[in-house]
Amino acid sequence: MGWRWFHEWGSPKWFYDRAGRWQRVCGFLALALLLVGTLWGLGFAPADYQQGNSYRIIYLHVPVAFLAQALYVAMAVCAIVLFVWKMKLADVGMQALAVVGFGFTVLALFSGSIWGKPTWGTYWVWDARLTSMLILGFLYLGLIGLRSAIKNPDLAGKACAILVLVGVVNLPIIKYSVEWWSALHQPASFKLTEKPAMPASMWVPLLINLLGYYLVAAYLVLASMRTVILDRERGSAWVREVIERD
Amino acid sequence: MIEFQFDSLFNFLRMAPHGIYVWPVYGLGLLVIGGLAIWIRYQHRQAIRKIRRIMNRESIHEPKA
Repeated sequence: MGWRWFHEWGSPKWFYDRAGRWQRVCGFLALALLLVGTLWGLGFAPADYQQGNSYRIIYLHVPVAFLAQALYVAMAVCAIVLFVWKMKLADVGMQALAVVGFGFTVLALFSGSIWGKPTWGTYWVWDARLTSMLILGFLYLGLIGLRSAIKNPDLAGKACAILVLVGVVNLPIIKYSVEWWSALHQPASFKLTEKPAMPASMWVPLLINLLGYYLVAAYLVLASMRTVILDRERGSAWVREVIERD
Repeated sequence: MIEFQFDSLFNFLRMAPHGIYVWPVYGLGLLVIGGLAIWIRYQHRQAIRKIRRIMNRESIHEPKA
């Protein structure tokens, strides 16, 4: 076996074929999990003793905010792989992750802002957590813009990888901002290493939705990667075979 | 045992007094994620169309044996 699997990952054709199957599995599982988790969270979880029903926004806000950061980490891993192994697929991954990550960051910002109104009495404050999330959104947007501004794909990939790695500095700021500075935003309500402060009837649907949104992100990234691969490999024989087969 | 927390569907939708905050968030979620999925699917179709056009053009200009 050895390193064969690693080299297979470097083949766009190998990845294109498998990603189609993985994408479908992720899509079905995501739909099932989100249906259960969201219905449970909205209708069956008890209301919060302080926030009432407004806390039910947690079942969307926390997973998408987690993902906005996790997708950036995935982009940073792709950037390192691109620099060290010069793997084409890593650049394809970066391109797909930027679009999906931007979507999730926008969703995290807007859902948090709407949740802020009944909780803090305002839609927005220039709080460290909110501002660093906004910067994350601009980083994603900058990456999308940078790639479309450079015609040479290899050069665009390298430039984006540098920007991704520079932007990694923002991630610990997002995570620790609520501990480093006095902020309106509460500390993490859900940690994988500690027993949750809320009852199981509240955190189980959150966990289900967290998994569901991860699978949605996987579905979207895989679908987007397949599109980027088709576009980049349009001159190769295997792409033409795929098109003729469809 | 988990049970439905509202005594009617109307109260569930009203989610008093926070329904006006909760439902728009989930609507926005559906819009953003659904929009991304549709946009990616559209891009995929566009990529296939583009390659088909190139293939058709090449087959027209291919020298006949």
